[in-house]
Amino acid sequence: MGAVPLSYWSMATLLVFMGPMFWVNGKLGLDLNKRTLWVIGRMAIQLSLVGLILQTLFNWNHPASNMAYIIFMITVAAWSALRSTNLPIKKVGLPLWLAFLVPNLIVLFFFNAFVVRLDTLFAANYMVPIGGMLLGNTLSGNIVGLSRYYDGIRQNSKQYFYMLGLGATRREALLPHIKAGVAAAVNPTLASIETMGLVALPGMMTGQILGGSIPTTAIRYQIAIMIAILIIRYFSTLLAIIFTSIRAFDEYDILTL
Amino acid sequence: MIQIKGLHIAYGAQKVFTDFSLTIPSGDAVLLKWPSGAGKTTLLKLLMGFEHPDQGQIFIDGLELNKKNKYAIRQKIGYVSQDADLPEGSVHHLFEMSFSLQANSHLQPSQRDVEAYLERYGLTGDILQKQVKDLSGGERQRIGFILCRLLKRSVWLLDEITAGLDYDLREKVVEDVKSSGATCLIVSHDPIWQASNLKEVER
Repeated sequence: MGAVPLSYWSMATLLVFMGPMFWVNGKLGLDLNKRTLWVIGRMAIQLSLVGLILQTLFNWNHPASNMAYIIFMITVAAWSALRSTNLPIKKVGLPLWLAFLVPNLIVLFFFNAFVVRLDTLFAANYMVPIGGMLLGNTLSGNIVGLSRYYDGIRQNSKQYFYMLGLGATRREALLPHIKAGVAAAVNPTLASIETMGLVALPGMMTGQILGGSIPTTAIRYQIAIMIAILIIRYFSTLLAIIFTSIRAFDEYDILTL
Repeated sequence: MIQIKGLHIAYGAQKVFTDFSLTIPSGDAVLLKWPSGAGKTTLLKLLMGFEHPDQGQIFIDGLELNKKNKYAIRQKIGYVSQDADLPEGSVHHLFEMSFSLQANSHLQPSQRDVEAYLERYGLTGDILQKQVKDLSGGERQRIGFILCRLLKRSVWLLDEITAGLDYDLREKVVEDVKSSGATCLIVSHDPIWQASNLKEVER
């Protein structure tokens, strides 16, 4: 049993509700109509393209193409994190990419090998969606964590210098900011784990149930993926802080970004 | 001993120091009362390695300030500033954290030493429980100065540390600085330092 296929026509029926929405927007003077149409159109095109790529990947199901796609996604995610955090690509692009690449590959392969116990580690239908979920969380965790870390140092630069003046090493002076950065990255996931299933049914579980899995299987997958997400957010942010810091400070411990 | 040789530093077109040299022999205290914008803060930052000169050399107790020696140099210096941003937490936590640093762990002071210094500078043990953010300017200066003394630094950089203190306390600080045996660079416009016949640093 799989999910009931959706026709274009049945998807389009949802637009019935757009009419009243646009009408209310007009009455309220809420300038959202153009943007709403634009983003829905854009999403449809983006997802259709991704669907084509995924379909091709699934048809090929070759380790090299799957791996190339994962590395492509990691590169896009690292680039997106750089843009969102305003960090300079020349200086910290490579360290950040490595901080995304290393833990994602380790956790992804561990998950497939020891949690799912796949016979074919590179199976596209496991590697790509699970890799995507891990990567999406790496991205959001790093944006929050790196911003907290670097903004914290900038906003509390006098405290940072005071610590160095007390004789602290760079690592000792940065420790409060490292802790704040990592905590900021994992706190949303901890909160989401805490209320999982109570506030909303999580996406992966919903997808699996619609795809025909029994709820107990879907729940096990959900628990496993949430733990993997927590691990990936923790280690990727920690590594991103450590790796980017190597290039972010001069030899006298001054932040140069 | 502080030695500055042929220091040049400029921010764009603005030259802050041009061939500036200064020697403060070990155990001497000198007064720096330059007007605002003359480079006092830059000089203190340069001595701590928080700014880099375009040219010139800085030696602290004979050790040249460079990337290799920066930690050894910072561990010789006690920096007390009126507007130092002390790390968050209680004063007790500040003391505990300062002596938990790798460089200072062997200097762990006794409770008696801490209390004696607090008392000398008009503070009571209760202040240890106070949050750093709730300290008055005068309390921050005194806590910073006590920490500098407990850390047994050989070079003291004191930035307006008597501003806002009452006369008795200012006298005690001046007396202690002069008898400390440390090499002291005092940035201050407080007349009490001028009255104590300290040599002044020319710009």
